[in-house]
Amino acid sequence: MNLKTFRKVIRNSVLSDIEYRFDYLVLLLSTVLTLVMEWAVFKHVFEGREVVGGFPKTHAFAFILFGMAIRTTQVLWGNTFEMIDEIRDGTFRRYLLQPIFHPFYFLARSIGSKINSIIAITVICLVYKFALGAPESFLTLSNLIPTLLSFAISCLILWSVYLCIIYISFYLEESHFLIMTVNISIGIFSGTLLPLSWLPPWLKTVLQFTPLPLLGDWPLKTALGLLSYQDFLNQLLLAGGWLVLMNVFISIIYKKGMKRYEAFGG
Amino acid sequence: MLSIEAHNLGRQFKTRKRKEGLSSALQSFFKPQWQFKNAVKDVTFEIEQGEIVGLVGANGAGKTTLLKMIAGLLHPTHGTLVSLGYTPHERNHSYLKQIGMVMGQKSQLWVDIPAWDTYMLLADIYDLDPAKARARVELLAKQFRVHEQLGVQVRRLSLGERMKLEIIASVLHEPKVLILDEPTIGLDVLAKDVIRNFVLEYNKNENTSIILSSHDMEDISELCDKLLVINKGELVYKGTLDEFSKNQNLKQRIQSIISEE
Repeated sequence: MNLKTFRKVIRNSVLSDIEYRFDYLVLLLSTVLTLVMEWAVFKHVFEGREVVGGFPKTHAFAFILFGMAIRTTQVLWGNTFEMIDEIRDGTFRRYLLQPIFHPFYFLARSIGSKINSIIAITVICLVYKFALGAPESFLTLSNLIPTLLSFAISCLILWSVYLCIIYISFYLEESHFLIMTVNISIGIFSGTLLPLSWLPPWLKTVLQFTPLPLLGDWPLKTALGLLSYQDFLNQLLLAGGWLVLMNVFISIIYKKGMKRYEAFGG
Repeated sequence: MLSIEAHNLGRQFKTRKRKEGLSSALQSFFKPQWQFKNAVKDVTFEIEQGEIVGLVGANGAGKTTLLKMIAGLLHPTHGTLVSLGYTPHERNHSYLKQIGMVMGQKSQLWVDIPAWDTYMLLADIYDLDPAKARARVELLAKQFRVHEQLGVQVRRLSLGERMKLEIIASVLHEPKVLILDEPTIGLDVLAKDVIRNFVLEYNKNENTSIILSSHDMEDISELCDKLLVINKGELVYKGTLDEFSKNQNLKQRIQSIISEE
């Protein structure tokens, strides 16, 4: 699958999404409402205090804004549900009949379905940075590239997680619950809703053994300038390890799953 | 020249068996019982390049399973299958570029956008020259009389219009093997005629091997050179349509096989 095809799949996804304008408007509205609600809670938490649980008040709004940006981009890749259903009812064959590499096709579809959010979020972040008094360390020239890199890698990790779930559907009929579990976990435990430093120590220890902090906490702290260069590199290494591990797993379950694939019904 | 060759080909399915009701659903959840079904049993046949072969059988006889194995969608449980020199289930991209498939009840078009957008994506996927692909779509759309429907979201089209657009998507890359699984299902007489004429003309012009599965005997008698009759997974007849007709009336014979179910 070449770059031209990749681009065209993104384009078709965007065109399909534009057909459902009200879905997009409701999503935008719920995002703004979440932002307002979260800001109200944070104001209450930081009342009369400059630092809470090691997190500075000056970075609170930037945290909420960029945290929301990450959550909106990552959570609920609608086409994951769609592809699981396509495996169940046999329409998944449309990908298998064509000379394409399905994981890339899925990535392009996912980017396409999120491109509207990415554009909106980029605009909001730029307005915040240059017109609304963002903290100096937020998205500076020196942390812009690490932020984009960590954000891109976190999306790739999530893409691997969703791909795993899609291919698990070759074996397990009821796999929607796995997506819901992932989505809820990302929302609560990836460090975009609350700083991970606020969580109980035992939970932080458990989360260290999952890729969840890499999905939210890592790009977020990088964007806020709260991560040292050494810590960034350590996380990068860890993220690379998770990516390799998951893609080996994906490759195994895909090959075995295809042998089991029983495209029943017509 | 042989296009497709199958030898002792078979596919077994494993399905969960359970009775109706909540208690049996719970029982099946903790202690599932499995049943095995041989959808295709030891099937052997050959198809020459450029032949139109009809595949006939009752519902659940194994037709679609056989077609899916030829398309590389299913792994055979046993036996060998070679199509255009490839093993289909390996899903080699050079093989996939030479086959096309239409399944009457499943769509490969993006339903929320006009077919044009899907065709241009397919042109990229199959490495076609965009200008040539456009010209080909125009030509095919004219043949199918769906030119005006190219710019309409697929979900807004009638069944017949959709089917014609599906066929265009399947032949855009000029496949050497075309698999048609019930392409005229649910269509009116006029739409059926348009599709049949197209299949005949396409086969004549491109020398494409076409495997056609249908419950409509007119599809089979008007289009096919050869016939494969499948019953309960076994091939009960393979030969020319003429031979079959001479032995007994074609319609009666097929109906008797189907009614054995």
